[in-house]
Amino acid sequence: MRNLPNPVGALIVSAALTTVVSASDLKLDGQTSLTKDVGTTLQVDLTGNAGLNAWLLIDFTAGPASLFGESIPLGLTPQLTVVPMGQTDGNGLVSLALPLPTNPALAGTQFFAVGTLRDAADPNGFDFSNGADLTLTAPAPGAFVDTELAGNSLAIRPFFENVRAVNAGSTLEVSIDPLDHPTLVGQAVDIYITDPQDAAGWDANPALVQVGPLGVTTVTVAATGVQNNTWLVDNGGLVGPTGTDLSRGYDVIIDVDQDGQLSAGDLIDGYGDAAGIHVVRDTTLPGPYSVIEATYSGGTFFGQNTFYPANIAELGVLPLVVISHGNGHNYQWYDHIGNHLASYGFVVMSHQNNTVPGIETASTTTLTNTDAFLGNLDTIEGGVLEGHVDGNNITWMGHSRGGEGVARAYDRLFDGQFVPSNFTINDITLVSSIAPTDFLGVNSANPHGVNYHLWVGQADQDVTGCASSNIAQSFHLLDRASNQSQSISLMGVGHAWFHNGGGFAWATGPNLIGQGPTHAIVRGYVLPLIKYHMLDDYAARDFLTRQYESFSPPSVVADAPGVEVDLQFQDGVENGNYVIDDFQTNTAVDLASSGAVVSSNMLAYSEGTYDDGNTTFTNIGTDTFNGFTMGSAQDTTRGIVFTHNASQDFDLTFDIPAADQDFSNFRDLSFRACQVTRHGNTIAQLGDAEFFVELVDGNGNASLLSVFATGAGVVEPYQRTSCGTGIGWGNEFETFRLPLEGFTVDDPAFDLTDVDKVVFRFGPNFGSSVGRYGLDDIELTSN
Amino acid sequence: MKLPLLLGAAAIATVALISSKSSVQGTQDDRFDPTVEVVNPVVELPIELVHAQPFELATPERHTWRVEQPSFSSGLVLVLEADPAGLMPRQVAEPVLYVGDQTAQRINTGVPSGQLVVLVPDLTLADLADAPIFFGTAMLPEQVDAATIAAELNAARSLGVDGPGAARVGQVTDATVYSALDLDDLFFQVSYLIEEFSPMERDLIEGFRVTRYSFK
Repeated sequence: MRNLPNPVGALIVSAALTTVVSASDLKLDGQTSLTKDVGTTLQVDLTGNAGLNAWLLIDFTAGPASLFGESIPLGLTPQLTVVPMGQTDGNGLVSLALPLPTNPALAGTQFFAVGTLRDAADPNGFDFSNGADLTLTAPAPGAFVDTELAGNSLAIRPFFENVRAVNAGSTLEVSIDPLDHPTLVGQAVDIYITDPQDAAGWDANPALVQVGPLGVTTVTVAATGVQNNTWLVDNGGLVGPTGTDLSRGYDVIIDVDQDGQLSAGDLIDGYGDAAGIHVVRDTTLPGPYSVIEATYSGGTFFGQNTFYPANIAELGVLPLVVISHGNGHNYQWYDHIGNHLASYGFVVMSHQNNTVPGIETASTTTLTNTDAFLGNLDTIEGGVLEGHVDGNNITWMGHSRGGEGVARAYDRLFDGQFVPSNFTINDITLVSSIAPTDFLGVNSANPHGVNYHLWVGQADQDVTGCASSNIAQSFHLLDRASNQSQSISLMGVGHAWFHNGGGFAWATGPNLIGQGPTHAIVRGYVLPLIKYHMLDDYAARDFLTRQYESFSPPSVVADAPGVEVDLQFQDGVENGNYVIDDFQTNTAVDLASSGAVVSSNMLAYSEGTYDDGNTTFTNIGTDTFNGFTMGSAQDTTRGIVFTHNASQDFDLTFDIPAADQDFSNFRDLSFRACQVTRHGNTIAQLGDAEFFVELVDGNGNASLLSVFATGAGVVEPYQRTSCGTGIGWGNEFETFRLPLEGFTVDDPAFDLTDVDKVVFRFGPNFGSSVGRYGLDDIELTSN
Repeated sequence: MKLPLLLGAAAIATVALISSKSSVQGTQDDRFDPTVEVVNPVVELPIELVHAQPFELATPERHTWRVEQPSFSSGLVLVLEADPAGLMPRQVAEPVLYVGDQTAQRINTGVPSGQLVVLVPDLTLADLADAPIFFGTAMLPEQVDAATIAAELNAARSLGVDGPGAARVGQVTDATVYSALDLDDLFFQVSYLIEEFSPMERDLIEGFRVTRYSFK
């Protein structure tokens, strides 16, 4: 709030009293009288004639008093404050988001306001509005500003990423956008890292106790820029997790009034059940428990290799992971998974799998071994597992034919073709397929709505992924999953390196990494995967959703330097995503699934089934969906593909339906994208490709973020030969999640509650100058 | 009991190749391209009988290697010799192994030895002499039905594939009957045969010799 400008003050003094009917209208949060908490933001709307300069007059008394010869509902005390509002628009509206003071001592204070427009048509040259009043209130206990604070700085806009997890030993930063907290500008604040509490804990015990070794960080909030308001709060000294925990949580607080208490107006990351930030362990390293491995048979195709914690008698009921090997493999070849997970408190059972006859028989052995294991816990190992295996929380992992087998096993439960005695379909928490085949197709090799996960090695020389064989295209199963799904694709990894049996690697292509580094990735990734799905581990999600380049286990980086790891992650429908376009419905190119109107000047733009149209990856021009192996001709997975060149900038625009333009309740804009293999434009800029996403609000404000804001661009296909002429393997989709709040950084006018358009921008001014891409599953996510 | 010299040389070369591949994991090796499909397995993957031995099961089992999944409680355990490159387990479709009018159930992989141990339900030593042993069209055995078997057998015979003959059967037969509780027990006993013919398959062999529990 600023003092009244002198020229206006002079006018006040010299004016004579008259009564004029006001033509303008003032509303505070849409009302003329309201109460509102300190530290919040007030929406001020003043309407009158178009194109006029506007001010808001604020005082402590209601008057009335005379101004310019006119009676207005203000006291015109010495505390009168005038706030410039700008100019009314074509509709005569001018608006202001006015931050209210944060000091709780102001609770009960009443303010009175009048808007005024400099209007030559008015007899005294000013059009005064009606009066409106505001009474400040104190926030209810616990009504702090619960927001994301902790994370890592970025080199590009939005200049900071809020995260759930950081690796132990990594630095931690805190950042705010001063435009979101204007009342803090110029103010010294204290930043605390504390042990986590939930809301009830904080309400009962608001004292701030710093636990980070750097101590309380005192900073002064700069007036502009996220970069100027990003502060190092830990240099890797925060203590990591103990026991079998994946992470140790901390809450992060900006103590605005520096009173050492969580009090009204403070900012907190972690006020709810989840901590604000989690320091995670190196997930490649073994857990705390010694592991016992038992190998036995319960009869024909009941050979089992079971791993469990040596102290299982003390551990209660543990989740069960069942592993179904591939063809020519052996049930004793998954020690790297069994030992790793058991050391963290899981029971892992790998069984003989009848894979050589086919997928149906393999699925039978998955089903019967799971059932028999649960039904014979009193027998196996002298009954040591009895009462310690959670038959209601089961993950099935399968490799190659066994990877298809576990999906088929789930399908048989789904179809009621197999009725187990000791578990039900609802007990299957996660199905994870490693380089699966697809013999049976859409009707049988189908994970339906179970949480589904896929591992793929891009150097796989057996389940190759080549367009020549639908049987060898693992991604079919991922795109059939109808609910929560995710994948991890490893360049330079062959088929046999996923087990520990040695022998022929079934690996071909450049930059092969070998079995050891492959196992490091498997260990580092399987633990958070299993923890996330089986134990609802909050921090584990970061391993699945963030770009590998942004977040990965440190030992993987050390053991497999330079390895390319690509992740896809799609939330389940229960998370309340808003699908802008998944291309499954409204299949006309100009209409999105959401009903959004789609317009584009992209070249060679096409929407259709993600199934390579012939048997090779050769770039022949007429194969529109060359390199796409996400479905067979019988599958329904669809998406778009398009090209741009360097001649101009290109865009793909989704006009969001009016009823769906409030994005403020979502966290991320998510989509998956890939480069198209062997296309000239892909080859021309071989490497991570860049394009931008722009949001345009109802006032025409546009805000851009690069895909690189997620940590990396769109990866080029694995540079492998064969499967036709040329270099480059199947199109490698990755999921990108751009934080919606990131679009408001340094852009206070941008309105997330009124997003009119989502625009994908390509071309010389928007990253890579040329490219050909696949794009799919454009949606807003809440989680 | 070895294949003709030429095939034997090929097998040795392939074993050497596999060994070198195993020892250089993490490097690219373009000498072996498993994506090359075998066009005519009957001709390209010859297979020879080197051992035959009858078995009996106290508990009948289902032969899951064909659509009909017939029950069986006797048959033959055979050892067959072939180019190990052709025996390399694949995840995609493999040539189906037939013995006469029956699909054979592979017990080991035969890699890298080239010695494949199989069982053939309901086959007798007397019938073995006239039963052509051949690799047919690549597909999943569980999808093979009687009509497919008949067609594959006719195709093999038309290409000149005959049974091994009584003399050969006589040379390779061990008439000692495996008398087993069930397949699991049979595999336990056969693990010693695998150890004799394909000793490098240690995990498979040991996996058949583990503690046996009585599952309910």
